[in-house]
Amino acid sequence: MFLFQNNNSIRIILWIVGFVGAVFMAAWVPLIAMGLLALRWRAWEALVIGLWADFLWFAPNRIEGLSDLSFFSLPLFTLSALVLVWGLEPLRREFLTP
Amino acid sequence: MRGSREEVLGRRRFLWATLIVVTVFVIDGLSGGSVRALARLSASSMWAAGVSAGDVVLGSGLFSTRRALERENQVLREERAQFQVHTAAYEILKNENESLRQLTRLVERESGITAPIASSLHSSPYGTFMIGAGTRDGVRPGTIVMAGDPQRGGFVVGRVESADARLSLVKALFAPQEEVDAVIRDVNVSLLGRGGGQARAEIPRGTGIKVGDVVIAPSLGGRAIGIVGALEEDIGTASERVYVRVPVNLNDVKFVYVLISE
Repeated sequence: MFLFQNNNSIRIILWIVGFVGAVFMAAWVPLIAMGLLALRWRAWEALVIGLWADFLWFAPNRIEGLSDLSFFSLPLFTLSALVLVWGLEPLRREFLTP
Repeated sequence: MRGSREEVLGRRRFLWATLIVVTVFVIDGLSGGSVRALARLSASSMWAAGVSAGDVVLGSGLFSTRRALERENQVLREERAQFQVHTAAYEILKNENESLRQLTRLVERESGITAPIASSLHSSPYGTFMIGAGTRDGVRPGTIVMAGDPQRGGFVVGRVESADARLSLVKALFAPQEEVDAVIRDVNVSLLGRGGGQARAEIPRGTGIKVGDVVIAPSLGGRAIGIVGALEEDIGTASERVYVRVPVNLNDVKFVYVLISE
């Protein structure tokens, strides 16, 4: 019971850190929060943090043609969140989930 | 068996969560950014509340010694930023008088508004930040954003990338991987942004470019965009590397000047 509550508290804290960190802190803070969430849980919160960060800082209307399609013209946080939560799924299921 | 069923259910729920996230992204794109406008408005309120809370905590006397030092530090930093702007302004005005007025149609009187910076300047991985002015104030995508008074030699720090009613997202001129064509002492260079108000370019040797030279962007009406911060010679090649920076510490800037085209 205690472990369950503790687990949930960590999950909520990581979510808050990622969410608030996207507004106040350097970009790597929400990224690390997303990574930790995705490592331990099947965390939809990581997806929400990624979407939130891109909604705040990313302007998609620059994508006018392939010539403009550079690394920084992609919604990096949303893509990272998708890669993290789905890419880490086998590892998490095999080793990191009790 | 039961565990396996829970696993399948969990995966199914998670797949739905992923689909919802992708759908929200698509809906936002199709609606012209209405969801992100709401997100930015709430983030801007969070930012303002956070800054106010910080001021209240610092003003409460809890950290009085630290607060006094921080205030003094802040005043000194602001003074230094002003000094840097004024020093660079002299060079800019001199350069403008010499040649660039003949080459570009520089606007004699800039009309615009002063807007507060409404977000953190270092949180965005895309080199963007928010300002508290939007379409209601006449701001449009592409609008030039400057630090300092343009009549006395301000610097272009970015352009509006997208504008909502009350907020706009500004892309810094020297955002990571952002290219800007510029002129330094009549030498054309292509600057590559590195973030944090810095950019770099390769120039041929023997151009006479010196540290402190003003960098001007013809595509931005011949306005100044930075100064040469350092030069680095590469012995193995015939070129020199020039590092350009914005002469103001952007973290100390609270307001920007937004040029509104009439």
